[in-house]
Amino acid sequence: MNSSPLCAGLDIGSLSTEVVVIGPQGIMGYSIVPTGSNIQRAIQSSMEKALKDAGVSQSHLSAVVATGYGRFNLSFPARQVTEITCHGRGASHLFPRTRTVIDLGGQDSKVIILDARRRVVDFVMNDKCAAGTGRFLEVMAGALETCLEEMGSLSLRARKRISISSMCTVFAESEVVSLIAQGASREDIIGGIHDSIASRIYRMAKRLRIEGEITFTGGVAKNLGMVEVLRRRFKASINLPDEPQIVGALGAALIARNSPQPVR
Amino acid sequence: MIERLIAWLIRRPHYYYLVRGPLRVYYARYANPAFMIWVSFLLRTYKEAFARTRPVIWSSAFVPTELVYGLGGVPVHPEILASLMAYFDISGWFLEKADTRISTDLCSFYRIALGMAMAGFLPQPDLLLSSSTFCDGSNKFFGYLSQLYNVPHFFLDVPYHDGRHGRRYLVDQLKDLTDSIAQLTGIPWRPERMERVVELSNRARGYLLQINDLRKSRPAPFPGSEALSYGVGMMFCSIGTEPSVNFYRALCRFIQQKVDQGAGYLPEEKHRLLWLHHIRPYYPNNIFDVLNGNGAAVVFEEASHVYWPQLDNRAIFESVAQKILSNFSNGPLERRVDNALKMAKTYEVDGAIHFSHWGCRQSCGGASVLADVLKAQGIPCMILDGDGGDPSNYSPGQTQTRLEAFVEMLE
Amino acid sequence: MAEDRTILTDLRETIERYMGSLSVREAPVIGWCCSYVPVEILESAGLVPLRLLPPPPAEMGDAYLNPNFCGYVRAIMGEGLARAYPFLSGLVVMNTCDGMRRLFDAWSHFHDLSFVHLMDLPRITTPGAVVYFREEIERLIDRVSSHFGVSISTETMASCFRASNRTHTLLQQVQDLMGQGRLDLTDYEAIELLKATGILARETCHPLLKRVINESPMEGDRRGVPILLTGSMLENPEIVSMIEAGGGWVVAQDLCVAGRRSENPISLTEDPLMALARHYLLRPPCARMQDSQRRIDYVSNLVRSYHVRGVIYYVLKFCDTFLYEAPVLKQTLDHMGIPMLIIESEYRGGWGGGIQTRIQAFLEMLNGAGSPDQREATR
Repeated sequence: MNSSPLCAGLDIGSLSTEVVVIGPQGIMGYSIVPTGSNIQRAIQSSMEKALKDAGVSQSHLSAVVATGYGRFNLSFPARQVTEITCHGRGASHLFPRTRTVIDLGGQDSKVIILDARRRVVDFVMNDKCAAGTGRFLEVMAGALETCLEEMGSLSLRARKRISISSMCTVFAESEVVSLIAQGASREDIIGGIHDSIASRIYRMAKRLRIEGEITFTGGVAKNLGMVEVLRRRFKASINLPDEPQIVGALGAALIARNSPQPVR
Repeated sequence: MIERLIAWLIRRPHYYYLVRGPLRVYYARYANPAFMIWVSFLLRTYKEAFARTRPVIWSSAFVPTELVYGLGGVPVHPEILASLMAYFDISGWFLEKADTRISTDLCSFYRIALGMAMAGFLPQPDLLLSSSTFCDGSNKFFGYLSQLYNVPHFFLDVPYHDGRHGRRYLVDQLKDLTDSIAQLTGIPWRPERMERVVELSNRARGYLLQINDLRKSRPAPFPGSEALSYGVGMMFCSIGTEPSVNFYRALCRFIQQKVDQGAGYLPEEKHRLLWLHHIRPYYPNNIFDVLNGNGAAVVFEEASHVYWPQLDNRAIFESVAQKILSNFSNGPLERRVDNALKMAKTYEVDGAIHFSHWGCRQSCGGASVLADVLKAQGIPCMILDGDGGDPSNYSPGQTQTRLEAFVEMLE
Repeated sequence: MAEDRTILTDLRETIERYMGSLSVREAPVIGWCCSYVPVEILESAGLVPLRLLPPPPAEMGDAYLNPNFCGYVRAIMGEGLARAYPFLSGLVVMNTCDGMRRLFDAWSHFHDLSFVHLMDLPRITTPGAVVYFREEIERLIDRVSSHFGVSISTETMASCFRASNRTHTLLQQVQDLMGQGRLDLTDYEAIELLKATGILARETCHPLLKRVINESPMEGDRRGVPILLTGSMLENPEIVSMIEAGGGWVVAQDLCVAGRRSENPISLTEDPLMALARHYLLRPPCARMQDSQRRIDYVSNLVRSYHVRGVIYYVLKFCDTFLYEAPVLKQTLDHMGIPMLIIESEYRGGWGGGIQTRIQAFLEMLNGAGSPDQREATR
């Protein structure tokens, strides 16, 4: 066991970077910053913010684990672990009985299956195409002249079920444009968009054996409209972390705590 | 819930009696009586398949149905049923199920059929029978089903070459296969039954030849879009039965009438097109509306070409082998290309459309060569990418633009 | 650290030298793209068979075929071939699948090569199928003889069969050593070596194989989580490095490109064409063969014999034959308690973070990394 168990986990995604610092009592501080075009700067500023939030300095850390697409870009020593393992670890820490973790990211989505001992036993990723990710929502928000943050609440006000049949983001966008021309309401269209994403995620998830409690992580989990539609689709209760975007970084920090190797 | 109700309903034979009447009324608007024969045939086949009065043989599209009827079985064609589901615009339902098991890069008809199987919409098979013409997908799909349903899969490995060795290889397989199936079903192979099937097959073929001849008329008397749906459906499912003879005879008379009246199916025929590939999108789409609106008639399609010689009852296995090997999509692409050129000339077409169905590598892979050869003969060929069964891969706007651009090019 | 050259350096240089020699060689070079091609016939005719493994070209031949075709076939159609193999005199294509079939058609139509031959390959392994395949081999001999003006004697064939059997024995030894952890090579080097046996002439690759066998240590060391690498192509050898870096150890491979070999040598006591037909048709099957259960049994046996803990299934996107097999194989392995990772490659070389993440996550899963009740050992 580490003598001073202060650890940090970094989740360096293509859209945002999160850092979580944990100590003996749990999460001591965290940060979320946009990654932007300079990964080094994003890493630095997110570390600074999180450490400040925790009231400690980098030298207090005994181990660091990095995850996410930018995990190989660190200028200081850290172990690299994939987002799959980290999201699994983070989600099961928050909800010990969860067996399925669905990460709804900005650029990709993943489904992670855990066994009763909270180990990852299967996973599937969708990172080849935008449909089923936050990016799809973003593109549609643009087409509908609204902002991403509003999409969730607007979807909850849908009156009619509109189906967006296209799976491809580009086709779907032109479908939305013609729906607008036909006079469909914005709320109904957005409801349809949410249904479409949910369908994509559901299909991906059903490739694995889904059982037990499901936990959502990732930025899109903050979209309550999305959570609602998925809740109906899976016909299951969904665990929602208070801050779904930091679950990956939290998992990374927890893994750091478990690994005994020195960082320096 | 609804799904389970329907799956339960279609398994009851009485359902078919109930449905037939209203369907007759509904489809009476079709002046073409052949269409109703197709509907009745489908209903009767599925009633029998669910009632299990005869061995239920799931068969791939290019297995000659004469074999199945000769064996005393009732054929079920998952690929054709899949296209029907698309036609009724409910394929999405089944695709969603299938996508949890197999990749979306595979042919949507197999995906839909798998979804139907998973939902209990297909009659329980006694055995599966498929041939390696025309694509890898069918071999592997039926193999997969065989494991899923735990029923024997009888597979005809069709040789690439239509030569002496190839024919012997295939004939031997046919003989072994009929023996084994007869043993399994307990229905002995009877030459008299086969004789009747052969006679009916040859009669239907005769009418089909007449139809193809009549369709050379200008203006085109019969729309390619219909030939590509129930015309092709009947060809895959029913050859060797009485309904198939009735169907082709009725269709022949219908078209003869049109030709006698000099009536084209379009008010004004400006362009004549040949459709390449055996299928078209079956879900509601705007392709033919756009073409019709621009006076572009699909006068003929390679799917309707009679590629096989008459069956000879005195050498039934050699005959059936010959039918299988005569398929121009078997073997070198030259056969398909030569056929397309001949048809283009015979039907005096101004252009051709090759429908490149997503996941259909055997057909799409030949499209560039086909287009190249046709172009060299002065016949522009458009490659229309799309999906025959999965509407989520369809973009009406894009399709319309491309078709209109093609038609403009013909002007 | 000794400064003697690694096998890999030697291998690379040997391949480079060899490929260079092909342009000035007198004997015609015949490309082949499926491991079912009976290369012994080509060798007997005095031709030089060469497994085509073009680097992913900038232009993938989509215009000739179709974008949703397997990348290997498109790479061969694309400019990659013209650049990488300018000395080719002929091409033998097997009727393995729709992709290969259309490759033959498109090639015959659009490109200029005097000898292009398609050989049919039965999908079943009945006695009738073996006879039919024998007839196809005969047809190949006739075609080769008449086109290149050579005659193939039974003696020449026997001698080529013997050479082939020697390769077979050496490869079997290498595979055994691989399984015991007794190869003084990284997994990356081992796979590259196996791939090279399709490229290099036998007299060139035998010394390399012998050297590897002789230099193998007496004791094996198990170096990581035992992984079986199965699939078709492996154009991107970096994948193997990723597996090693993630804590995996490729203890066995079942790849079309690294030689999914027959378990038996070519018989020298019966009709040579029959022996050859049997040798190829009855060997451990590729997924394109109809009897998928036979292949699944074969893979399951490999898993058991080599005490594999995880299977990495590496196939090309749009490959129908493998795509249909994958879920069934995964289910079988599931029942055996062995996880399987499916990677679909686009034959573009390099890798998106996606492939690396998947491989790393898979190995983390096998290693129990991140599990709350596990302390991980330092690596």
